[in-house]
Amino acid sequence: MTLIETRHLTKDFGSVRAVDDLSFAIEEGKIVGFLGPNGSGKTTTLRSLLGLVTPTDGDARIRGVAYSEISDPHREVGSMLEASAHPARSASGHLRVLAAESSVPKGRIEEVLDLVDLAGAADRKVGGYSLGMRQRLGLAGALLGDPAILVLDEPANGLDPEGIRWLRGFLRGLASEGRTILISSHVLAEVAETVDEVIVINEGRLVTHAPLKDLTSRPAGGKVRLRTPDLVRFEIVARDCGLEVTERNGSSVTISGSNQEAIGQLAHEHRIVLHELVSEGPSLEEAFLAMTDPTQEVSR
Amino acid sequence: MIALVRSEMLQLRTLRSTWLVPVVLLGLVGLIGGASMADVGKPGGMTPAELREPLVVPAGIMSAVAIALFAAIRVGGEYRYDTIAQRFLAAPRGRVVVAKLLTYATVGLFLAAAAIGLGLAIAAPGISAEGLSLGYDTAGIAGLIGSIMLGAALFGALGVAFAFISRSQTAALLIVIGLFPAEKLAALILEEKAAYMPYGLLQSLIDQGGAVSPGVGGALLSLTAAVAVLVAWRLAARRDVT
Repeated sequence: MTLIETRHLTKDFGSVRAVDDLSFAIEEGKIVGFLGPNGSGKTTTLRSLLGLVTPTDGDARIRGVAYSEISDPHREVGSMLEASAHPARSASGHLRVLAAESSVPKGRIEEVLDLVDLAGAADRKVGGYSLGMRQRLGLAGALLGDPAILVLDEPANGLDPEGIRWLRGFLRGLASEGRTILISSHVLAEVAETVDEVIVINEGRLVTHAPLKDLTSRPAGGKVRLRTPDLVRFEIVARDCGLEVTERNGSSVTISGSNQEAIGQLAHEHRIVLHELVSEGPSLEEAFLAMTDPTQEVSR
Repeated sequence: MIALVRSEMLQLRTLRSTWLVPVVLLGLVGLIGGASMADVGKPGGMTPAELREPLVVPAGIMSAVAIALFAAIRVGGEYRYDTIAQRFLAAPRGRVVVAKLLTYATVGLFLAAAAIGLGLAIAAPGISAEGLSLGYDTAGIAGLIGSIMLGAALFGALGVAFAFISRSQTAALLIVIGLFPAEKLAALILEEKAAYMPYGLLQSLIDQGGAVSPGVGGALLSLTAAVAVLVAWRLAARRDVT
């Protein structure tokens, strides 16, 4: 069942097109990374989804309806757009206000503060919080209504490595509860260990929407590294077959434009002993950069 | 709507600075009222109108200005701290505007009631002891209290409207503060027509030297606030929250 969907979503701010004919659908129970460089239209897309920005064309829907048509939105969709709260208000005060707006029982406030490890700082003013603590407070607010759908805009932004590690574990926990999560980031590594799928956009346009593993198994960026005691003969054979040796290191070489199976077969046919044969797909970061770099041809 | 108004009231209660508003307002009303009453009974005598002025002006004008500033600061603060998106995610935008309007108008009513109540409590014993009178019968006192409360409620609504229109705490504050000197400057060009601007209408409403009767002043100030709120409501509903 499709829970989150954009259809030909387009948004112009004056002469600037922030989102350009963007269509994607997210199925129930999926954890989806929404990726793109800064300024690629991620936040505008999420704000359109949440009814804060009116699309110039197309639409964005949750469970088939516009956000504004959801009768009890906080219980349906939890969102974290900015880690924003009045600096002179305590965390518990901030959450009490959010709870009162949505008629969420007060008891839930303690639960979510525990979930994000902020129970000990609940009565401190938010202005004295670190960025990581404010991000966690934002997550607590998103979870207040115990929603099945979460929309998180750059929750790892500004977090230190410890904070990012905490966030990964936290998101994995939410994922295990069967929630549908759309999480944006401009750094693939932040979400790579958590998401099932990725939607990559650049300059407001869809670049790819695919399972995470597909990103790294694309042949265009694939390399095979092998180690053999008969390196000179292998290189001759490889060149005769039109393969490109891109790196050489002692008894190892790296071949581009082929795959593990084909190289293994080639070595076997020429009775060349292999001590090592490793497929080296592009790293996630390389794949992401390749897709969002306008100077490179994109594999879609 | 009840949940939204309750949430707005909770927003006020969860910030300590909220309590500064009644403390400062009532302190000033008490100070001015007490100082003025010290002159009561001195040779030269005071007319009922002179007796009323230090009672009505601080309570009527200051409570209205205080709630307008307070509303501008708090609603403008929602834009400053980017918490307005949270409000609009919880409920339709029009309802959020109405909830804030009801909240600050209600707070204005109570503030004004407390201010005029304090003023009367300070003034009445001294005036009565000297055998003087404010020149009001019971209905007149009720009318005075009602017009001061209405003025504060309407200025609270204006403060909310200015914040939604400007989407800036600073701009909303400047509008509330700058409107008074702007009206005085406008009077140089528009002459008596400037009395139909908000502060001029407030003066009429509380019967302190306005150009029209309190009833007409109240009606026109209500219309002004209604127009400002309508503009705010329309803009809040249509603008993107980026």
